[in-house]
Formats: sequence, C-alpha cells, structure tokens
Amino acid sequence: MEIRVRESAGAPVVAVSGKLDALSVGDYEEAMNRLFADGKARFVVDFADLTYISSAGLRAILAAAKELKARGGQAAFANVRGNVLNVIEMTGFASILSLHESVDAALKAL
Amino acid sequence: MALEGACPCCAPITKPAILTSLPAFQERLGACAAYHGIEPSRAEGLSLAFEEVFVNICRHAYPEDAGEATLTCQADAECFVIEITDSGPPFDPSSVPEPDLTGDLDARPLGGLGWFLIRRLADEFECCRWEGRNVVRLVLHRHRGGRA
Repeated sequence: MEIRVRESAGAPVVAVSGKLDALSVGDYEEAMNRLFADGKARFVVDFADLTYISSAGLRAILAAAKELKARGGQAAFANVRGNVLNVIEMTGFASILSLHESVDAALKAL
Repeated sequence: MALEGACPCCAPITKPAILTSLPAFQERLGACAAYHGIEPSRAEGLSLAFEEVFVNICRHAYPEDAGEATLTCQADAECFVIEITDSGPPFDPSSVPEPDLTGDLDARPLGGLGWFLIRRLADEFECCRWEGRNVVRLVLHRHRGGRA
C-alpha cells in the first residue's frame, strides 16, 4: 500500500493505493494520526487506486471517522469502486461514510 | 464430496501464523484459483475471507507459543474449496455474534466484521475440530445459486 497526501482547494487529499489489509493498516493509521496532529479535521480520502480492503482497513476507517466527528470534522471518500465498494456496501459502511464519485465532488462536500 | 482436482499448485502450504505470512498464503490461493478458472473478483473475495480467518488464527490460536497455519486448495467440476487449519485451542466461530450493520457512526463498534465477511464471501462455510486441529473450510460454487 502507498499513501500520498497533497493539498487541493485548501484541503488535504489522501490518495491510498494497493491493499489496505491487516499488514498495511498501521501505515494508514499513521497517516490519519499525522493529519490529526497537524490539526487537519476535514480532508478527502481518494480510493481510486485502492484494490482491496479487509476488516482491518474498515476498522481503521471507522476509528478515524469517529475521531473526526469528535473533532467537529469529516472525511469525504472519493472513487470507491469495485471490490472495495462491494465490501463497503456489504458491511453497511456506505450509510455512515460520505462517498463521492470524484475528488472534486468530495472536496465540495467538505 | 470427492475432490480430485489436485493441481501442481494445490499442495498444502504451511507457514508461521504471523501477519507477514499473509502475502505468501494469498499468492498461493490466487494462483490456485486462477489455475482452476475461478472468476478473479470471486477469487479476490475468497482471498479476503482467507485474510479474516488467518488474522484470527494469528491473534488467538497461539497466545503463548509460535504456531503455524496450513492452507489447502482443491477443486472439482462444481466447487473450489480452501481449508485453513491450525493446532490452537478449539475455537467455535458460531459463538461470534452477528454485527448490527444498521447503526449510525456513534453506534458502530470497532471490529466484529471479520466472521461476517467470511460468511458473506464464501458460498459455504464450515468449521470443525479434526485430529486436534481447527479446520475452517470455505467453498465457492462455480455456478452461483448452488451445486444442486
């Protein structure tokens, strides 16, 4: 898994590629914690190149969403597709996450 | 059910029950599924189910000592089957409650989705204790809707 963070329209865009599984989830949590430490409470997570997510990844996403809510912020998710979308929908996460068809649409939703 | 479809890639693979073994197991599973013509998206779902079983073994099967897990893949004209075994204490996943997937963000607990995903991603899911080992058996039907 690879994580790249860039700024767009004043908000961080976190692009996650590869597999978000039990092995890589620590890197994802670290990236989230770094954003929190920098005071970032509104950002986009771009899953365009994420090919796989397991319950370990879902747990990290949920933990970050709860933390953001406590901080009065929010993450908007862009380009959730394929098997990743299938897992997100299967587990009911589609109803608790802010999902958008593009990074631009996600940025506007923040 | 007689499973006669052993292929060159179907020999059991045994690795330490530690998370860094996950890619080697999933690589074997993926190669075997491809050899037997399993649709890639379904094979990926089964690979995800494998991760959930394997992570559970890593966390719970060997609390004191290092242990191992074994993956066996088999196929016939109707099914693709994987078996994951460990020699940890007996474990009964039927004791794991079904998660509530309808709650809002505050109501959703962290965790508890692994066994749910396993049940959803495999067409058949069985667990048993056999010769001192926990055996988890996951089956994909080649034709959706069952073998009958």
